[in-house]
Formats: sequence, C-alpha cells, structure tokens
Amino acid sequence: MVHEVLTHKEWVAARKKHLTKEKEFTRLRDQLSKERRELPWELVEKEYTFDGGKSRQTLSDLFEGRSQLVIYHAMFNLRARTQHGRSMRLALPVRSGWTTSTASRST
Amino acid sequence: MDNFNSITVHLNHRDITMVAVSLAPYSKLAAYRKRMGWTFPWYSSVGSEFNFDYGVSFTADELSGGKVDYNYRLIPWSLSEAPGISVFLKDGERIYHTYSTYERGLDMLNVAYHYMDLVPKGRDEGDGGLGSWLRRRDEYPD
Repeated sequence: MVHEVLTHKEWVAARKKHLTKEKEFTRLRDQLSKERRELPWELVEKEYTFDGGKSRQTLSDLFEGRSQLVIYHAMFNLRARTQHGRSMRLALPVRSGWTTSTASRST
Repeated sequence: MDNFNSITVHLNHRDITMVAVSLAPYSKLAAYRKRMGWTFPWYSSVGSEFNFDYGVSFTADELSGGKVDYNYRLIPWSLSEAPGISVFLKDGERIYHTYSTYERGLDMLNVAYHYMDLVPKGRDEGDGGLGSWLRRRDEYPD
C-alpha cells in the first residue's frame, strides 16, 4: 500500500486541517436535519391493514402507543420481470448488485 | 435490518416505534426473522396498498412499462420492490406521513457504512453497491 506517511506532529496538523472540514459538515448535517423536521406533513387518509401474526392491525396499531413510527420497507421474496415479460422469484441479497442494476450509485 | 434490531429498545424510549413492513406473507417473514434472531416487529402488508402507496412496491402494469416512480422520479426498474424508509406521526386520532427516503438516502441508516467510512479501504465496493458484498449474517463463508 503506497500512502503518505508523516511524523506525529505533521500527522496532527493534517488531521486538524481535515477536522475543520468535518466540523463544517457536522453543522451542515444539523441544518439539514432541522430543515427535514420542518418539512410539511401529509394526512394519511387511507385505511391500511397489516398482518403481524395476530389479528389484522391498522397503521395506528403499529405505533404501539408511541407518537412516532419509523417503517423500514424491507424487500422480501421480490420478483423480477425478465426480458421475456415473465416474472421470476429472487433471493436477497441479489448478488448482481441490485442497487446499481438500473440506478446510479450517485443517487 | 441488523442495523436497527439492537437499537429499537433505545428508540422506544425516545417515543419512536421502529418496525419493518414487507409485502410477503407473515409466515415467511416470521421464519426469516427467527433465523436471523431479530426481535423488532415485522409486518406483512399483503392485501394492502401500503407499500405501493409509499413508493417501494410496483404493480405488474408499472413493471411492464419498464419504468417506475421511485425516489420521486421515473427510473428504469425491473424488480417488484425497492427499499425505503417512511416516517409517520400520530397526533390524537390523526396520522401524518412526515418523511420518506430511498436509494442513497438509506446510506445514513446503514451503521456498517459509517465504520467503513472511517477506515483506509473505505466501503471498497466499487460500483456494485451493497449487493457486491452483503450476505445474510449466517452466509459468509468464514
């Protein structure tokens, strides 16, 4: 591995220089998070039901008495449309890199 | 989902419920959850339009057109699902959708990425993304 190697004093100077940029990023991230929290909301008007192994549950039930709900939409048993228009079942994780098969990593 | 399984207890004490929702039938989710040792609630949305309305499941019609509306624009896509995170707020009887994120918006939820970003080799996944290296926790060969 070829990489720049410095004395401790020089190393600390380089680290401090980068720390300035990290601090700037941290403040920008805080600002972005603040603006995210300030985004408008939309009312959920549709009735959704879910199966969690008991009786059918509503979106309201999923909160379990708390006021904030984070839902991870997990891909599972997904199907792929083939070039011939048929669909096939895929296992996860998809080895060929599903994140880039059709979309760019930059997004 | 290894990323949030062990922190749901902490989120719960900050007025946050963290769950997963998939289109697959519950019996399949329950079996997989047991295999992985996960304890977070995992619901099936089968028979509901939930995952379609929040932009992560696509109908046969949408897929036959070759393009789907994902991450707030049309992209070429061939899979019946894509990943995402959605956030909801309950205020009395009302429920609001406050946020959703997809694609690289999910990077910040991947704890392993944050550590990889600290080491000399970085994420080291080229253009392949997660799929180039990620395996189920019991499927790594060593």
